[in-house]
Amino acid sequence: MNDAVKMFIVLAGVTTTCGLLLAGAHDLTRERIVTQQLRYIKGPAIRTVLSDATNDPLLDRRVVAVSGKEVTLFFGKKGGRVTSIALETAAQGYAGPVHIISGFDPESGTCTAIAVALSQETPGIGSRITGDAFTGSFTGLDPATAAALRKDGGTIDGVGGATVSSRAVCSAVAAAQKLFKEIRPSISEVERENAHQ
Amino acid sequence: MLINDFTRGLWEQIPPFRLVLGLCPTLAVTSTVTGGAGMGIATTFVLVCSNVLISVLRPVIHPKVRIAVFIVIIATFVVFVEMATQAWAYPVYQLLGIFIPLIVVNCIILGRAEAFASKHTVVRSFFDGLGMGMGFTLSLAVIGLLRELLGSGTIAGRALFGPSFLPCTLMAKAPGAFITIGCFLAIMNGIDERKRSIK
Repeated sequence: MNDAVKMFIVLAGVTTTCGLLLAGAHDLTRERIVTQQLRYIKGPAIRTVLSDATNDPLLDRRVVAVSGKEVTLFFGKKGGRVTSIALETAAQGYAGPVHIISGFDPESGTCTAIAVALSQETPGIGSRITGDAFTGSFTGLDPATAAALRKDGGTIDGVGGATVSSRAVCSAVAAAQKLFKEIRPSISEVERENAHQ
Repeated sequence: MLINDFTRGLWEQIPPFRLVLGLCPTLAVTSTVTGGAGMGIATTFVLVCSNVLISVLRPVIHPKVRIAVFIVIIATFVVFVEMATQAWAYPVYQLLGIFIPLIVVNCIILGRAEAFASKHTVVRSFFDGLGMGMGFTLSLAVIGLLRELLGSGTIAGRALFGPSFLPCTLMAKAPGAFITIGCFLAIMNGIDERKRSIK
């Protein structure tokens, strides 16, 4: 056989086999990797938001499609009843995107709690948005009032000296409120599906 | 002979000190003992697997495309390791980060493939890979242990000294890695010199 052909066959054979093996390994580990990423990166924030849940909200998650986008919902349950539903949104902060987990009461749509999942705000200044004093002010926000800073005509007191970061949290929560409103009609359906599992 | 293949990597040709290969991970991830040992184990796995497979494929690997084939095989095992650490040991993955995919370009692995596995039997290649890998793991773990102890006063994250301990932060940074490796090289060369003068 021609030398060049032999070379071609060896290289093509090895790369194809490796490609197939990797595709198989990817399929096997994908689900677990997503769970692990949630657990270690966003898990702590999700648990803070759904702190009174007795189930593991990371396992009780559902992906729903809202206006073309996929949103992952985390269900916080207590005694088999869904008490709070959390979802993630992000907004541009001072030093990159600020990812927020917002929890909502499935019945009233009231915000139950929020937590910062990921942010790179300036340590000591913008980073104070992660404090309970600030995140706590979103608890009880009713669905009719979009989250906004007081100086933007809203109800939330921003963190002093960190307006950009505070505003990012507000817009992320406002986006979550809007998203939740769109999702709410289909939630009972999702819940029923969840119960079947 | 097999025992020689195995022990060669543990002293005579211990990778970071004797071959002075694989310095990138040696400098980058040894600020803690967990990081060093984790990187060592990941590298050992890739090294053993690639050595064995390359040795098995030895008769069919065309000499003109051998480097490309070696790299494809090594890269495949590295991606396996990356997926596995993400799926089962996420904290280790967070610790090692970009340095896991970079195992592909670790000179030790390609070096052993080219210099040993492509010329020797499967069993010998296995022991060569295992020895080299364990030598690498041992070196990284010891460097990590010293740097973590001096640089942050902890071992595997557990504080050893009271709150009055002032860590030598230099040791946790890259210069600390160079200093540690330099000291080890000096000690090892010293031992060898003494051995030779006794002879």
